Amino acid sequence: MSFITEKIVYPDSTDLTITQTKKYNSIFSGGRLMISEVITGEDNQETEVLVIEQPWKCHPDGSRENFVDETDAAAWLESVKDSFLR
Amino acid sequence: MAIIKTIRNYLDVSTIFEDPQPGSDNLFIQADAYSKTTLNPLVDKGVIYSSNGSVTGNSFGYSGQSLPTSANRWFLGGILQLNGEVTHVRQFGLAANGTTVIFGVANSAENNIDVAPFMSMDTNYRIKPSSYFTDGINNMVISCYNYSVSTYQGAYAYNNHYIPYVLKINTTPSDLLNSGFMTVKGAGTDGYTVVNGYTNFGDRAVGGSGTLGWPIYRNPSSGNLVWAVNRWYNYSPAGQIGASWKPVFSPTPTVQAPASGVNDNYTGQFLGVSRLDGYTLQFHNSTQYDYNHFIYKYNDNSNTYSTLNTYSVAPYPAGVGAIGQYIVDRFNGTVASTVITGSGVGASSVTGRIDGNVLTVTAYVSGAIVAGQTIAGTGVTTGTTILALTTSTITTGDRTTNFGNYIARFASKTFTDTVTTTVTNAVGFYQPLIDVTGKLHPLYYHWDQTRDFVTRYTDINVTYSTGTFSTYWTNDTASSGALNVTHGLQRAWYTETFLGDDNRRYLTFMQLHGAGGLFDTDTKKRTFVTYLISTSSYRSLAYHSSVVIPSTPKNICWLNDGRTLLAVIAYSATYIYNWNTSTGWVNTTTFPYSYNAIGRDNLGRVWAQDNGPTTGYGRVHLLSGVPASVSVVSTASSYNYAGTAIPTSFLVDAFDLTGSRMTATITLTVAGNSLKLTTSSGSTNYLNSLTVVTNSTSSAIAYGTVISNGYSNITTTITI
Repeated sequence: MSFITEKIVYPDSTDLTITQTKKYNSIFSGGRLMISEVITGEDNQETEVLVIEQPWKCHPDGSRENFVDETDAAAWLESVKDSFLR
Repeated sequence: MAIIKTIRNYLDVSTIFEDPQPGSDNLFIQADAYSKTTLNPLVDKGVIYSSNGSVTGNSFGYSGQSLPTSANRWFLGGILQLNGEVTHVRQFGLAANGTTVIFGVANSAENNIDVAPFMSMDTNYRIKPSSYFTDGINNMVISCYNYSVSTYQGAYAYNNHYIPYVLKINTTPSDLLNSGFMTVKGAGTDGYTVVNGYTNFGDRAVGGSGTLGWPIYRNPSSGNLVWAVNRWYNYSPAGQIGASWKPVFSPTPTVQAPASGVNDNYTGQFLGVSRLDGYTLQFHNSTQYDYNHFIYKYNDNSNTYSTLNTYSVAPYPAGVGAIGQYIVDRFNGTVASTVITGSGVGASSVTGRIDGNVLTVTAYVSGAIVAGQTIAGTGVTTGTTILALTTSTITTGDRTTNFGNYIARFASKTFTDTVTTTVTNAVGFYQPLIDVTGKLHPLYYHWDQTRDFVTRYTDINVTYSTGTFSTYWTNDTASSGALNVTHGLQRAWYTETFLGDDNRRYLTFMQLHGAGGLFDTDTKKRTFVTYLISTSSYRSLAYHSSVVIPSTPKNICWLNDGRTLLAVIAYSATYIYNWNTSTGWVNTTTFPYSYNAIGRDNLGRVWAQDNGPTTGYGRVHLLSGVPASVSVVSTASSYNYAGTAIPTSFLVDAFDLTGSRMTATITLTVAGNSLKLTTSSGSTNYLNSLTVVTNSTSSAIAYGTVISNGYSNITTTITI
């Protein structure tokens, strides 16, 4: 099972009217969240590049907590995607 | 200080390239070889920068800055390529029109500063322009430098996102000296066109990018070479989450970095190497919110990363008895979102979480929390008790509202933490935070290396015997806080820690600005403030001393491993400070030169370079191993010549960078007819020059005789 997370980014930080959507495909495996960036080529073919192997949830106060399951991992990633995903 | 050589020919090679190979005694000034220890020229020896010996088209490094052409004015490095820590400084930058001098001009990318002094937090892995790596069989000599450009530079910016370097794989000192040429990559004849391959860690291969990076660590498990990298994207510094060559000893390695691995508006620092798996950690520091940080671990084998910890909660006062953060006496694991029941006096229960020995309370019931209160709950270690409440007044650290925005801030080096916990292999470090009231509240981080868990402490208690932080310091107000003009890396706040001569730990806070001159009219902006750290808690700091830098500090360079000898580089002078526990930072000597670079070789000697006279192609200075200054003091305050010779004497001292007496051979030469030098008191064997050997314990004595009316001057010459 995998799940998709999308994030809006601003490629020019001085012009926030310009936006892009970044797409990530994640797999929860062995207690880890494997997050791949989905990159669309000029031929519109999508390729996935593994970027993050995340072993736990990071909280804003510096603490961390193990993932419960894929649902928990997906909910956490959705909640922190704007700050966590680059 | 000794002038070693004035560069007389404009060649696109570094002023000095030090062979970093262990045991090598070779040092190259431009391409000519010298003995590193004696500085004697090695006849008919030299380094070769290309297969045919031509340096045309290389554009690797440069010797001076008097010709800041549109291309090379973005160079940041490439002058002193030493196998030790070096700081490069732009001293004579010109604006985009190529003629307007931008000294003292804020909001100009030409004034960007070198991040080399801050880039590595681990003293086991230092930033060096010239480095050596080996696995015991293969080896590599590599020397690199950087560009730091601006978004408005179009093609220059587009092309200058790479790191130029010279490289030799599997070499020997004799090979470099006699026959083997270095391979140059990443620079063309115009200084910016990419030739012959280059190091570009991807992701931001677009206009407005720059890269500040150095190879820093060979991962013995993966066989890769890990780089410490800060990005430069549009106006913002941007920390790079990992970068590496795979494998290290290949002439054509895969140059890799994680996709989307750049953290805009964060500075990146190399935090160290994990004891668990050998991968590297990076500390990313927001330029907008002093309390926003990420700690990453980079897996150079899979070219991926994981986030160890994130911090985005604004700190608030501790010990108020209600919500806030409290320190408990036991080191717990993470206990998140739970109700913790109190016993004894105080609140009957609190809602919050525990991380390590920090209890964060978000709600409480029945009364205030008090020191000594025992708490219990699921996952809470039995007997955990709240320690004495602190009086910390820390509040946020939001750069978007107070005391300047988009300020690059850099954390200190790490040091072994022997106090906070009993965990084996724990290190700590500080990073600067200026709160909403303008007070310094450095945050303290504790890295438990047994499990790669980093705990941040915000309950920093800073005390002053007189006044407050604002008594001594104020912030830069010349620079804009708007993103589109800041060009982010012109200025920095930096905290650094060191052990004093009393073996106590200290912390110094610095404010730097690459423009130079901006703070000259306000002493508070150029004041470095130092604190004494408690022996029982790294979170308790007491004001120790402050020192006003005579003119705007552009950057710094540590001149010894203990970080008790400091060069503060300004526009027209470099000030040397030596730490003294009694008085703080003491200015021991000042070099009245505009140094483009200053740093150490692997013998610990200090070198510097200014443009020099006339041609301005560079002039090499040796600052240590020779006297930094010489003092000749007459034993008489005045002489009244009435026709009879007056025997007299002079106290002669040579001082090193720390201000200590040193042994040196000094030649005194008299200019004038009223004074002669003699070998003994009262001797009539009059001399115009005399050689004196100074010592490290007391003043040497030189004798002389006043033989007529009039003025005479004594000049000194050092023999090296």
